[in-house]
Formats: sequence, structure tokens, C-alpha cells
Amino acid sequence: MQTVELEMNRHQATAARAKKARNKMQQELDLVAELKAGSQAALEKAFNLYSGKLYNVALRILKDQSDAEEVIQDVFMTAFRKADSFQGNSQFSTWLYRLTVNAALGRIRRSKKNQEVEYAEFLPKFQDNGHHAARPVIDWSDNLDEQHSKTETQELLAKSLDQLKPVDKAVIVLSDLEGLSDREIADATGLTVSAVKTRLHRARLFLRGKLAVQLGYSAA
Amino acid sequence: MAKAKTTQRPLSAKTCKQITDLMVHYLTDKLRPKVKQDFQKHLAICPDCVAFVNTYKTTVKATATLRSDEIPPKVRDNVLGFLRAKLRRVTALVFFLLSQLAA
Ligand SMILES: [Zn+2]
Repeated sequence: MQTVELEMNRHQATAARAKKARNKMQQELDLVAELKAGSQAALEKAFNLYSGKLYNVALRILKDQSDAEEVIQDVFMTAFRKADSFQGNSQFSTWLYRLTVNAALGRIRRSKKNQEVEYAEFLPKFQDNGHHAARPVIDWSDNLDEQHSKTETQELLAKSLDQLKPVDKAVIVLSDLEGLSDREIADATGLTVSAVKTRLHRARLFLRGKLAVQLGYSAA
Repeated sequence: MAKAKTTQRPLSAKTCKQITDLMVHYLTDKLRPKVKQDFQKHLAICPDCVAFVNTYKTTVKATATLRSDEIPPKVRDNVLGFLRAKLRRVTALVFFLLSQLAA
């Protein structure tokens, strides 16, 4: 009896989630239609809905508040002027992420002030037979919270994230902070899905290595 | 890292390197059943990879905490002010052009 009830609850929850997703999609479609019609109210609505997310994506990539502010400005102006060019093949939010990532990466390319470090030192290493080179690999997953406050860990991660190549930074922000799927990230960055996965993996390995070293262990 | 296509093939020799390369698929539960089985079989005999998987997962979880939706009020006001001013100018221009046409 209990199992049946649980099963029913799960079905209801799934149906509710699907309904919520449909509603969200309809709201996005309505918003895009209003934007295409040139509604200023729609632009403000879009701004209220998405500016927080997009500002933080731009800020993580650019690391500079006023640069991020200018990017957001351009993104919403473009979204208003070029609403007609939004095809509806992807979600509206993915399109906005794409405008944001393009604008932010373009800015870095032009300024050439990005500081990158070599990843190799912080990536795992393997012997010729495919085994880990440094053994044993230490499981520090439980030590992280013990040795560092949440804020310290976040500061270290933010600093390490900033050392990634700009495109890798964008990929990890969209994936692990914003929760986009690999497909959506591919749409937003213009990379192939397989390139997204490769970059995401390498970026995560680098961040893992940075945390390991900070805790006093080998990155390998 | 090998391409997704090749890593999705059943692993004949299950090395730690191959396990590491499958992490992205493993975390999103996208491994094919046979590969997932091989993955788990390897974990059962390799404490190094268990430690690796745990620390990789911890890293992803800790990175997710950097997420924020907050926009500083000043930035919000600046951008909204800019957008409104821009649109006012556009509207004024449209009215001007229409009035010229009508004249
Ligand atoms: Zn192993």
C-alpha cells in the first residue's frame, strides 16, 4: 500500500514539474512575442527575470564589476533590438546566456588582460599502464569542510576559476554554477557538445587539483 | 581526454585513466549500462579511484556554491536607467519621423 502511495506521489510530483516547465516555457514565449512587438514593459520584465543570473555570469568571466555592467547593458539592448532574430530553437534564457558569453569573451579578447596559468601542474597524472601516478590518492572530500570555512573554500575556488582559459571559465560557470545541460552550453558557446564535455572535465580537474594542493595534498 | 564516442565503448582494460575520463558522463548518469557496470567494478577494486571520484564530486559541489543571482542595486539602477533613456530616445525619434511624414 505504502509503495503504491509513494509511486503515486512520485507521478504527481513529475506531472507537477512538467506542468511548471510548460508554464515557464509559455511565459518565455509570451515575453519574446512582446519583445518582438517592441514593448518596453517586456524589456523590463526580461531584465527583472534574468539580469541577476546574467550579471553574475559576466562577472565570473570578466572579474570586473563595471565591465560586467556594460556587458549586461549591451545584452538587454541587443535582446530588445534583435528579438526578431531569436529563432526559438533554443530557450530564450539560453539565447540570453549566449549574448552574455559572447559579449564577455569578446571583451577579454579585445583587452588581452586575461591571466592564465598552465593547467598541467594541477591535473591528475597517470603511469603508462593507466594507473594513478601518485598513489595512494588521498580522499580529502571530508577534510574540506573541516580545514576550511565555506567562505575560504569559495575564495580559493573563485581565484582558481579566474585562472582558467576564458572559454573554459564560461563552460564551467554555465555548467556547475548555472546548471545548464551540455547541449545548452554548446548552444550558448558555439562549441560542440563533445568539446563542452572535454573543457568542462579539464576545468573541473584543474579546480580539484587547486583544492587538493591548498589542503596540502598532491593534485595528482 | 579521449572523445566521448570512444570512451562510451565497453572498456576492455579498465584503467584509472579511463575511469577519470568517464567522470563527466558518470556524474550526469549518462554512462551506458555496460560501461557503468565496468566503472563500478573498477571502483570496487580501486581505492585510488574511489578517492578520486569523491574529491571530484566534492569539487563540483563546492563550485556550485559560487552561484549567485544577486545584482548590486547600483548596477541594476544604472542599467535600467540606461535602457529607459535609450528607449525614450528611440521613441522620440519615431514620433519625430512620423510627424515629418505627416507634415
Ligand atoms: Zn583506479
